[in-house]
Amino acid sequence: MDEGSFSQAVSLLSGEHSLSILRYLAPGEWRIASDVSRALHIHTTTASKFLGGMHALGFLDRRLRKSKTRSAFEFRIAAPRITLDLELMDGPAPLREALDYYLEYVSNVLASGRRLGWPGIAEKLEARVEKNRNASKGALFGQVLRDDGARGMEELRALFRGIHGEFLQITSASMGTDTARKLLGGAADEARKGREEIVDRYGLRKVLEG
Amino acid sequence: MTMDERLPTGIEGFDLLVQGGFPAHTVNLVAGPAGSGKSLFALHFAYNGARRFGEAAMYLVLEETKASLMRVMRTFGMGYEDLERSERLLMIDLGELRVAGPEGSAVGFRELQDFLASSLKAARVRRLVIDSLSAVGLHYATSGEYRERLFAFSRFLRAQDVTTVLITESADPHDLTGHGVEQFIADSFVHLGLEEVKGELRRTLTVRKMRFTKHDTTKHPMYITPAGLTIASDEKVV
Repeated sequence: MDEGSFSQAVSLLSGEHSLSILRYLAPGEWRIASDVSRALHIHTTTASKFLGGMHALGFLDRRLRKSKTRSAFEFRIAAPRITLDLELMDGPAPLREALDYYLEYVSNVLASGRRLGWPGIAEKLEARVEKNRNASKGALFGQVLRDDGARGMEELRALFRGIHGEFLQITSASMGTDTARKLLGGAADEARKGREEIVDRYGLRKVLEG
Repeated sequence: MTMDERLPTGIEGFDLLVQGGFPAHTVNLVAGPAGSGKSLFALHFAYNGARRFGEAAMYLVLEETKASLMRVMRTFGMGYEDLERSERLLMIDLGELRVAGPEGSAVGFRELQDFLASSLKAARVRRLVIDSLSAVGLHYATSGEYRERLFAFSRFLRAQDVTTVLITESADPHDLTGHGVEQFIADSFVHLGLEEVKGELRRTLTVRKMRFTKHDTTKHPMYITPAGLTIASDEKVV
């Protein structure tokens, strides 16, 4: 969680009815703002603001409830425990360096796939990189241009976690899980060389261990 | 393929010594010092299987690079591109894992078995070459552990629908194999020699063991010609 999100969360949670609302939601049922309002005898706007804010921070799930008269959002608590993790790093997270690491990993995997010689592997891996290329590129450039700290880093990790997962699936299908893990692990280790501090400090390698 | 069937190597002179080839579904060891022609022997087995006998082959490279073996094949007129494209000859560079893996790590029998369990069926391979056991041996700290794992691995191989050639290097001229145990685990043992006679190196081949086979036991001269290996099956080295 970056500093901005942390401040918002603290502000929301310090409200007079925050804990009552969270306890009301704790069983995990879907509730709309007027349910909360009725149950706790608070104003619907107060309940609505809190639910919307907590959803924006990722603590509540949200879905649209449609009815004949009108539609409304209903909310459910994502987990019965709320944890605030604050990144206390100096300055913004090094997104460009992280991106370099992940791109080198991808490049190493493709090169290993070609050298390994298993028919079709290199093509399948390349096809995965090509797949949804514009969306991935947009996401990557978006992260770098925004340079928006911890949240950007988390999104970057999520993107490459997905790519790694598909790489693992492709390679495991032909050569077995152990060999596939070894191949991909080797590519990740090679990419780590020369940037060990950043990779270790920001847990970049962990994303590639699934 | 039945247990009585044989897989010819296509090496001139060799198949005559062993009733036509290696018995199907067996694990066969080819050992010898560096430069004795082990990889070329195994390349003939895989290449001829795919090219002449219609049996898909997989050659696992663990020690040299795939590029180096490809160069050897080109040198001896073994055109492989069409076979690779049609997946009848798979040259897989598992040494790639060794280079990329954690420091000191090599491919062990567990990784090999995991790889083969998935890949043999996927590729419908009938002939398998592992080049070499010496590279796998680096994975193990003790000879005891190596022997134990090799034993389990050979059982795994026999349970597959393949006929396997394992290569191992004997570093010491007085030793037949790298760890001194491989020949006991394999179904057959072909020893390639490299002897100095009057200042010249002479290559030899001896079939020291082959189960289910009435085989020749004589030490024969072996030659490397522009077309590859030739065994002088009617000559003996004295």
